[in-house]
Amino acid sequence: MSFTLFATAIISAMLINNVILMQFLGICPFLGVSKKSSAAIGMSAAVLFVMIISSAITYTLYDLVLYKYGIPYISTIAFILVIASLVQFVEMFIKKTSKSLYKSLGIYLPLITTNCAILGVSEGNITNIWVNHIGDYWGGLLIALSTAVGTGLGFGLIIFAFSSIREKLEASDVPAAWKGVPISLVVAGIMSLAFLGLAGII
Amino acid sequence: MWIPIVVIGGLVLVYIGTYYLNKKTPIPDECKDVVDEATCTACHNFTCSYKK
Repeated sequence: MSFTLFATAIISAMLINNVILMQFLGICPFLGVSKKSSAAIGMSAAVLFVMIISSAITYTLYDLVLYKYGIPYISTIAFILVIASLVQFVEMFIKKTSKSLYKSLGIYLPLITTNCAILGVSEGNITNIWVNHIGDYWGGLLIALSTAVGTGLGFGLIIFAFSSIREKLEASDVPAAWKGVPISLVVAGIMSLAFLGLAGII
Repeated sequence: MWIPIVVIGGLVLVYIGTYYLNKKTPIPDECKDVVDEATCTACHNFTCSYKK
């Protein structure tokens, strides 16, 4: 496994196959928690945190249990349960150990349970095993973690950029009919077109 | 036949356990205001009657 492979996985997940603008996953927090930059940063950090841990656990569960015992067809429901349990556990852990971290991240954690971007990354990781013919467990795990880091950073980049634009729009003279959600959706569409320009660089 | 049932059942039990433990853990006092504010900001329920 070369460094190039991991770097490619991170850049590809972050910019080219961006989870929000290209795969249309995680649209709910993208539109719902992007009114303020501070909230967007908190949400991005929480998503990145949960995405990395859940990718490691779901990949391990798939490789060592589901695939081994011939039951990969229950992967989706198993991953949903793993992510939901993980979110509960992480929230409890942060509540007990770090009040400052809970203040900045903890309030967004329950929203992550229903964030399909997390499930999408977990499902994508197991598809990678077959597409890239990854044989060994550790190689696959490292690719899965690289993809999770890239996807989480890509999610953060887009939601932060979008929230910054929305903050500017609040102070702009927007026609009454376009105020609020309509102009936000137009901005999201333009951002998606802009990111299409990155397709094919790898 | 029984392996998927054991796996799903085990995961459900893990979820119930973590949910119970999380609910039992109190929210730090200084975070209560932030939690209320965030809950109201994130939820777009127009029929909500819980407004400060």
